[in-house]
Amino acid sequence: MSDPLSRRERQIMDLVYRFDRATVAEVHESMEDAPTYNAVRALMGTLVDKGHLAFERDGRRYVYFPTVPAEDAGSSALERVVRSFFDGSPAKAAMALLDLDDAPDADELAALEAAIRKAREQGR
Amino acid sequence: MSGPAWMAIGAGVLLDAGLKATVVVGLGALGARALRHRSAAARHAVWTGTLLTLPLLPFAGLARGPEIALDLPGVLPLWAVGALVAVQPLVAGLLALRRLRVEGVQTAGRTRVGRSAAVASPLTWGWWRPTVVLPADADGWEPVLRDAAVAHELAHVRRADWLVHCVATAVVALFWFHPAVWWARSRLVLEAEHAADDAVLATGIAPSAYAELLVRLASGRTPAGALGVGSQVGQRVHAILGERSRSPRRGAVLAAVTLLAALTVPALGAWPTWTAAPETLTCQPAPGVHP
Repeated sequence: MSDPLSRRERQIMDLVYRFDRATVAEVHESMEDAPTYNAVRALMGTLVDKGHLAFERDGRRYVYFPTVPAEDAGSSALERVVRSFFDGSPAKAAMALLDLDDAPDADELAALEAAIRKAREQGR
Repeated sequence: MSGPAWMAIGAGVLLDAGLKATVVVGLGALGARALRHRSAAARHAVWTGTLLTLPLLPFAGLARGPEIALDLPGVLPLWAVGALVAVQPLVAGLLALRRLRVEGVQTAGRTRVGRSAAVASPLTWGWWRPTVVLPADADGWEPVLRDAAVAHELAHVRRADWLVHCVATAVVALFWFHPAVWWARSRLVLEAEHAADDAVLATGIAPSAYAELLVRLASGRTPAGALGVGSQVGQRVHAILGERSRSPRRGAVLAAVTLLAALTVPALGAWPTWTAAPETLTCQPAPGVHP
């Protein structure tokens, strides 16, 4: 992923980051001074091979998206490690009504519901 | 010596504090067991005292001067890395809380209550200006159940649970290598939840209705690995539906625990676990090697 990108490839990556997810047609329409549709498709295929883009099927279309989130693009591995140190979930630092990491499985849920039903019948 | 003396002393302090932590947690467990028929608030006070006592142990030992040194240069750096890893979820979580977008805020005194699309469960945090946040879909819950959720969080606010738990997390990060300290914290957290549940039930909501709210919120989540004790929600539902003491009073217990800690820490500090004299910290040639 450290090969420098050509001007066209840079242009395509900027567009895909802006759209977040895009088809070849969407990128082609938005390009300034665009090459042919097939040229854009080939370039995006190259970007997939280089690891910058990935795609998935969405019905009959193929939708492309960046493999590296926008704020990480251009970061070194060390920068990403430091950033992920500060990437947290609010629930871990607050008091939650429920500990969602310690949830009951299906069997326990059924047993709890039965206990609740019984309590309700007893008027509690 | 293969490293600087202070590293060896530091490693020795860790070992000493680790051993004495076992004693302190053991005393806490005995205290909590003695109060098993009393309220969750009382047991929470025991665990609070236990965890807050632990960081005093290294100082109690150091006051006597270094007695034991571990000539293993890797120990102190490894401990520092482990402590950073252990404290990361708290630090990162606090930063995420600062960035959290809270809408529809209503204030009651210093507390503000709002909604957020970014939380999956009702949350509360903050000590001086506490915030209670409900998930965005809470507006669709029955009012009785929404009130119960807010009452639970407000109970945590009244009890200053968030502050205690942040400090406890920092303590656990210092003692990350000691499984009993992790266990003590898990007991602290559970008793805080029981105490908040008790406060909700005191508002008059039917136990079965409140239990049903918790079960409904918990279903559909990824279950934890089988631990044999049942999930946290399961333990709380059984406690909610059961009959037991719900008194919120914990003042007497807190006073007793503080007194005990005030006696225990110096006693542990004065207790020499090692008999090596400070002079032995100087480097000695290895046996069989001629200087």
